[in-house]
Amino acid sequence: MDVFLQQLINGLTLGCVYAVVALGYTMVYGIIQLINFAHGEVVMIGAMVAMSVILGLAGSGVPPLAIVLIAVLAAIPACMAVGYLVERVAYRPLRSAPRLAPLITAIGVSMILQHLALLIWGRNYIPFPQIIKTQSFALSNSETAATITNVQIAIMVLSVLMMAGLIALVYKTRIGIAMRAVSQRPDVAGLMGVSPNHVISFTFVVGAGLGAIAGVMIGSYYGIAHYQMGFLLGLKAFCAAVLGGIGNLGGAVLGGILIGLIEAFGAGYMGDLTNVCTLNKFLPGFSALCEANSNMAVFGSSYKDVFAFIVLILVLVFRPQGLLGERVSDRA
Amino acid sequence: MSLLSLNNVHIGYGGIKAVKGISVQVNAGELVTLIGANGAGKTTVLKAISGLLKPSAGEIQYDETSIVGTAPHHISQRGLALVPEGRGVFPGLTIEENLAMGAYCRNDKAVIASDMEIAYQRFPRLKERAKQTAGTLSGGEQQMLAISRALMSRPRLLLLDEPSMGLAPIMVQKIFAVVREVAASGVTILLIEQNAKLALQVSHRAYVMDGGVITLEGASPDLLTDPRVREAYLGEAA
Repeated sequence: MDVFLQQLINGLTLGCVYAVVALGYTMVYGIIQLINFAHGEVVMIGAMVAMSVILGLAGSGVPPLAIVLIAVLAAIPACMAVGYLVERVAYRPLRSAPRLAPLITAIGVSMILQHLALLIWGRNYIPFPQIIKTQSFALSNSETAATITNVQIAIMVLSVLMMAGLIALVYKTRIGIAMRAVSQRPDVAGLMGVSPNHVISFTFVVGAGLGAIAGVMIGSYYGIAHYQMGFLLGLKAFCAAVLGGIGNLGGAVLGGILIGLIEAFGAGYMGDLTNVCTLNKFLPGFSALCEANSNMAVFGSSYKDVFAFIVLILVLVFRPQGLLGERVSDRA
Repeated sequence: MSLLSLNNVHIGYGGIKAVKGISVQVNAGELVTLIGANGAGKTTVLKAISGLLKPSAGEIQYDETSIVGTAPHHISQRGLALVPEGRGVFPGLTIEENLAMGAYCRNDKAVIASDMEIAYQRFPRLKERAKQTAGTLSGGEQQMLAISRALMSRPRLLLLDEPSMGLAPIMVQKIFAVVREVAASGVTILLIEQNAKLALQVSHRAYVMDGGVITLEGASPDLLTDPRVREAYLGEAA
């Protein structure tokens, strides 16, 4: 039970981060039907900028909480600028090109951003400065009790606030209505006096802003930053967006949290489930391995990264429109 | 003075010329109609006026300035509203949100709210369904919504593209009553219609378009009795 609870907490934390990143994918897809593969790199840049600010200010006498706040406030506009520029320079000229062209461009942009980060921050894993001490809170009195850390609580609270804020933005404000209008009928939205380009830029900027915060969250959660950290994170968040139904905001949140949970439980139980002695009970041929080393497992928790992609394949085969998506004819 | 004038406008799609040098004037306060058979190039003309297409040659002036090459949202911001062919409602937005989009360029919330109320009084059906998405509406209701949405911008010039298309006769009557009422309130209208008889009955002046050119023009009551129009467009023997 403790293990279960622990994986639930870990999964929810991760899931919140995936959900926030997935929102960036799904917003952009919703408005211009583009999978912005560079979004993971925007998240990485958010983490890197925040890390640099924290390293620069650490020991300057500024209170730790204020440093973190300044770091986040620096990361957001930096990522927004990157998001804006990427759309303006790379995607806008291809707006009316066949859909494959911007997709390949997105992969190119992703590589360019990774290598720019490599030039700026180097190729090494950088410890994400933990200037706010991580505190764990036990959830029961038992020796093996599940714990939740202050970082996990902060990630979950912040993510829920951001998701709620985004949904309010999209469903309650003038610009949000315009975003949905442009996604449905860009030409007609233009006839209403809406500049589709402004709305599209705005969408990229908002998505990048969310990505910036996600970057800070994931950096402080894993305690590490690296120029390639956005790649896998981005792909998993993309899987989450597809699972929920790409283009659907609620779907991105649901898909993100599910992917986080699947990954956490997968990592937590994979070793036990594929333990050679467990397998020996059901399958012939494992008895020798079990006698040799009863702790040996066929797959360990290091296979955790595989779950998101298994889910992606299953979704694409059995429910390509995703959990909350509507079936649409392919416009490619 | 003319609010809108097209001078020798040519428009093509790729290599195909859909409009071959037409000249049309719409004076402030007028209800002008452009009639003609399917494929005559009428919709193409409206698309060019609203900025969705760029003419290959010729001049379009709105309020004494050229609008050729101006983006649709800039043209719209200057008080020109188009009710597009096929109505063009935002299917995933509610009725209310569709109307709010019509008023996108205006800032006065109180006036927008009162205009929305006017729209609801004009079409009580829309009020009943205010929170429903527009995709769930019938064709006639969508046309009501599209016209109401265009009026939410308080346009000086309203372009209507085939408002009667695909509607039941009773709905057509209702829509045309509203067109008349809007014209009477001082909004200049350019109406495109396949239903020539109805269009000529409500309008002041008319242009007849065929094969990308204007073949006839004149006061609507005169065209209504013109033997050429009667034969070709009203389905009557001359």
